Amino acid sequence: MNAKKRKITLLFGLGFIIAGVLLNSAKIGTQEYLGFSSAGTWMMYIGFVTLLITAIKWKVKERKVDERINYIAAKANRITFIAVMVAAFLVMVIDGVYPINMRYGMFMSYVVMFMIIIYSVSYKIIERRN
Amino acid sequence: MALSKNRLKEYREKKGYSQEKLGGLVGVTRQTVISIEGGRYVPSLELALKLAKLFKCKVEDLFGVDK
Repeated sequence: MNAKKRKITLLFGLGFIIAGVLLNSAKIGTQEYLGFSSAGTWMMYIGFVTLLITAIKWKVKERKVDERINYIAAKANRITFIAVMVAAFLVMVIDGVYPINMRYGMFMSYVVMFMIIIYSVSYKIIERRN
Repeated sequence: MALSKNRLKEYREKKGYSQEKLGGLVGVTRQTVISIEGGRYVPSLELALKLAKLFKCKVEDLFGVDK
C-alpha cells in the first residue's frame, strides 16, 4: 500500500468513526441496523476495521507476484477445474450404482478439500517444472 | 513453444547484474529469471520488451525462435 492510498484509507476510517460518534450522540439512526444497535455503531465498527486493516497492511511486506507465478496459478486452476468436472461425473456414476447417503455438509467439505489438495499439488508440480 | 535463441544470461553478465537485481529491475522474481535463462519459461511480450529496453537492444537480440 503506497503512502497516498494509506492516507486516504486512514482518513476514511477516522471519518467513519467520527461520523458514527456524531450520529450516536445526536441520536440519529438509533434503530437496529445490519445487526448493530444503531447506524452510528455500525459506522464506528466499519471505521475501526478499516483502521485495523490499514495497520496490518502497513507492516506486511508486499509479496512480489510476477507473470510466471500468474502463469503457474492459471495452469493449476485449469487442472483443478478439469479434475473437479471428472470427479463430479464419477460421483454421478457411483451415485447411480450405489446411492450415496452422506450429509450434504460433509459432502461439500470433501469437495472443498479435494479442490484445495488438487490445486496445491498441481501448483507445486508445475512450479518445479517451470 | 521453446526459444531457440536465449542470450539473457550473456547480457546480464555483461552488465554485471545478479539474477535478483535483474528481476527487481524488470519487476519479476529471481526464480522467473532463472527459469527464462534455463529455457523452461518463455517470457511474455511485456517482459521481453522490458528486458530489451533495459539492455538497450532489440528483443530479437535477446530471444529468437526457429522458423
